[in-house]
Amino acid sequence: MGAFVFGIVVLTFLVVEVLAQIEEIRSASEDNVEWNINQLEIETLKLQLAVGDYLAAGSENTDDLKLRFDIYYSRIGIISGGHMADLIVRNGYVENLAKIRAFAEETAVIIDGPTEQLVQFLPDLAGQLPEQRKAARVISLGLLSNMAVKTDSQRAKLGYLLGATAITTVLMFIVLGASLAVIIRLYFQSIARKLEVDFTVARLDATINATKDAVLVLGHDNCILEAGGAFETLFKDRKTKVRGKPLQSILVDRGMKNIVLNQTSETTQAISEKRRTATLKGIGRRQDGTRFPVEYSFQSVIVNQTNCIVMFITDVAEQVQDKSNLVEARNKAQAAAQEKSRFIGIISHEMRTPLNGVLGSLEVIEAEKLSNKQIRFLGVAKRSSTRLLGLVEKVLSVSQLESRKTILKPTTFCVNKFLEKLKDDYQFEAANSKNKMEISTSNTTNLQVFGDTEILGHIVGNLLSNALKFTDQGSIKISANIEESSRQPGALFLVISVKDNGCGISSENLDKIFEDFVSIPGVGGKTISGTGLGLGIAQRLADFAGGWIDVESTLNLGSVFTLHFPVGSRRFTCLDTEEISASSGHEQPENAPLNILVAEDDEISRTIFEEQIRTLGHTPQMVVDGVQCVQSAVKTCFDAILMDFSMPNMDGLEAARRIRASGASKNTPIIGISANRTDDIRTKTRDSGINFLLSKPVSKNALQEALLTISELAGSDGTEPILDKTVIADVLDVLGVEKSRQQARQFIATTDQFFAELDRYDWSDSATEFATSSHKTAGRAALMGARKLAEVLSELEDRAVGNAELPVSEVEIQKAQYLWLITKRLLECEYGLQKPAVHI
Amino acid sequence: MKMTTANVTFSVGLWIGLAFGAMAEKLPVPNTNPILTVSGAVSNTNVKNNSVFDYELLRSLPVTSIETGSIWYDGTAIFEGVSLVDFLAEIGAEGSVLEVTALNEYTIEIPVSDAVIDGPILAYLMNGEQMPVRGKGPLWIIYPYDQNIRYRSEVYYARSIWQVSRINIRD
Repeated sequence: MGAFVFGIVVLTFLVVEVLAQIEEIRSASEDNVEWNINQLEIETLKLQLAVGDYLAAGSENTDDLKLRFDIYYSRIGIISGGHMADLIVRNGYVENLAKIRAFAEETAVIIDGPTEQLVQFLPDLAGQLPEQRKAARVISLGLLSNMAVKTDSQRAKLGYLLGATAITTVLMFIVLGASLAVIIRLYFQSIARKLEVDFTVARLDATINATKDAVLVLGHDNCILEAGGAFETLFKDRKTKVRGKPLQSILVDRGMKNIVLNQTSETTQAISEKRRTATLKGIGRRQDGTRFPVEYSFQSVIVNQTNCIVMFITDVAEQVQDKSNLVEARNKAQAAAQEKSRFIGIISHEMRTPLNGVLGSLEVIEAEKLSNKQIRFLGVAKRSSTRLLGLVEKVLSVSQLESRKTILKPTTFCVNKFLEKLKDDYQFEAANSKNKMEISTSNTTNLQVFGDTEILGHIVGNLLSNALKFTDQGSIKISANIEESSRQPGALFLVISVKDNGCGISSENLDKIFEDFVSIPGVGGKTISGTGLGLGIAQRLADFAGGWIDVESTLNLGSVFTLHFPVGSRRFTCLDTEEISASSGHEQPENAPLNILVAEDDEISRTIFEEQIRTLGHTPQMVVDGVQCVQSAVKTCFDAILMDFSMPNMDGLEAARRIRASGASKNTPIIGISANRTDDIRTKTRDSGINFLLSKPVSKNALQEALLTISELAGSDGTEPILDKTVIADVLDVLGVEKSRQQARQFIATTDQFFAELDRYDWSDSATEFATSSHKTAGRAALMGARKLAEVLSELEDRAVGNAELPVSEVEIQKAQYLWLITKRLLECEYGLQKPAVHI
Repeated sequence: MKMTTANVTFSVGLWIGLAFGAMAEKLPVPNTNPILTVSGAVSNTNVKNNSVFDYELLRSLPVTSIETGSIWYDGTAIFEGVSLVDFLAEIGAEGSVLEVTALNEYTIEIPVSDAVIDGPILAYLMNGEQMPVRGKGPLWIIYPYDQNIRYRSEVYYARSIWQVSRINIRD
């Protein structure tokens, strides 16, 4: 713009100059000076000639001469006048001009004078004229060159001016052109923009029209300003008709109440932001009175400075129906599943009890002195029964695992011992298939770990059994190792691998083998006996325990099955069985016989339990139902109570509850015996205060394990005392007896609360909460002298905090709970709240 | 150019006369020395197919005066004479070009189309006085330079011939 104005100014100036120049040239302000000077020379010559003629001819007539002189004189007059004289003077010929003029004047006098004088003068005149002529010529030539220069410069100046004008004009044109280009571009831009806007509007229109939601625009007072989208389809009404009507005429919330939308844009914004992910449910009302469920969302907008609300309404009638259908179907399925569980529970109970009887009896007989024949057939009977039990259990455990009825019952065990026992168990089968078994362990496996041996035994046993089945005259290598988990620091895995050089598994079958009821035929097409469930169960069990099974195999070369089984993080070095028996008092039941109360309604089972307990070196006290159990327990403080769940008059759970409520055996560990393994058994068990759960049929080993654990934690001396007696002494000292007891009672109450709450949490969600409360409880425990408990809880807290994704395992929690029970009892003793009931 | 009512009437009368083919008054033979001889396509001749004028005879023709400045003198001057258009009408010129020659043999061609009202005059008085030869007399064709910018150009300056002595009219 500025350039343009500047250009105009310059141009105007130039044009003015040019025009002036043109004007100057156009109206010639000078006569042709050169012509006049030339003429002067000529007329001087002509005069000269005239004089010469006159002198030569001797004529009388001087008229012609005078005329010639007049002409000559007038020429001088012309060049002496005005511009011409100026020009001559300017170019430096003033002297010459003066000379010529002077001569002319002088001569004029003579010419005008008497004729005789003139005639006399003529020769003189003739002599002077050449000189005059020369003077004239000098001026003429000088002027010629000067004039040339001037004309040229004039031309140049004009040329320059014209050039400048032309350039300025061109530049102006360029500027104009550029402006024009800009305008054109703006024009096209605006066209493009308009197209864009049109397109956007069209798209928006299409979007609104394509949606299957009804779109409403609401003004103040919740009045409907506009309706669009699928409004007409949903509400079966013309959208024009609904304008101006209040919102509640077509939409209310689920309680049939009006929906209030706050009109302030910020509040509405805030509300709609918060609600954005939540679906708002309401009820749509049609003109004909019918109603249908809807979901709606809204957003406030500002249109022309007024607050409006845009609302989308979706018809969810179909979804609601679908959902209720699904819920119904699910409920039916759940009911069916529950029915199935119940059926299984009944069956398992029914089947186990007689099997318990058979096995138990056989065990009892085994202890007697027998003849060789009897021993042999006893072995047969025992093996058959065991096998039967095994088969039944396998089938049932599948469904139990499916319905998550299994409970982990971890105990402390020695890995090497476990493996040795396993090998012994399968010695017979190995001999049958002409295979060799060998165990390889490293030093690290000469340890005690904490885990569920039953489940572990199931899995490894299955792997071993498979290996033996599919290997002919080969060798099976069992190796075990303890590894730290990379995912869960501090957690240990017992890694057991079973390697055989049997027929191997082809790669396409590798996945199939874990499927239920799948058996891959062995070498030579020989059919392998078995249900085909083994690996499936094994995998489920491993998974349940928190581990997994890997398999590697090469056809015709063999297979390696590797089990990773999580075990508790306590480590002890295994001592030899004899050493264990001799040294640590709490390992050896013989040194510390426990008084065990046994409640079992079934006579056979009762007999068997009695026998088992006696064999283990403890003292059983038998009762037949819950009532008696409670009576006895209340009166006497037992070391342990063995409680069958299903009993007449009062079942095990109820009895346990009563025992825990009050009485001498209030804090006695209770081992529950159940034929069922339903999911809610766990909760019920805890709620009623039962600490251990064994399932029928109860083998001697299982019982021994449970009792061992109890004994282990029952002793308050050993390598890791449960209480720190010095701390307790300090507390008593500082606070005094009364206050200490008060503190102790409070501690017990809060810690009871802590453990009760443990049940309710799903630890994967609340790891941090668990960590916090565990931390608190651990602190208090340390203050009260419950050192072991504090340690265990701290460790659990660390685990929960360290890796918040992974829950603290079931195993750890059960352990902690049992520890608490013992600790509680001991604290009560120390602080004098309760008489001690354990003989150390 | 000063236009007196008499001049106008006379000029108009002459033109009308001419337009109707009526001949102008026959040109008398001059008494004194001729100062201008017009030859060529003239019809109103007095001496041997020429129109010869002396001072008196010229003065008897309709008078037109011009007051103007020029490049040959400073200031303005008043010229009186006969306008070319009147002159040509008087002599019955039928050509298209006037060859005008001066005493010093300078010759210039003036087209007959130049002879218009408010155009050039054949001047014999400058500022009321006769012009001597030395003063560019006796006759000077003067254009009204000040009145018409068109006449202020080389071409017309060239046509502004002084010391006029002969005119030859041709086609």
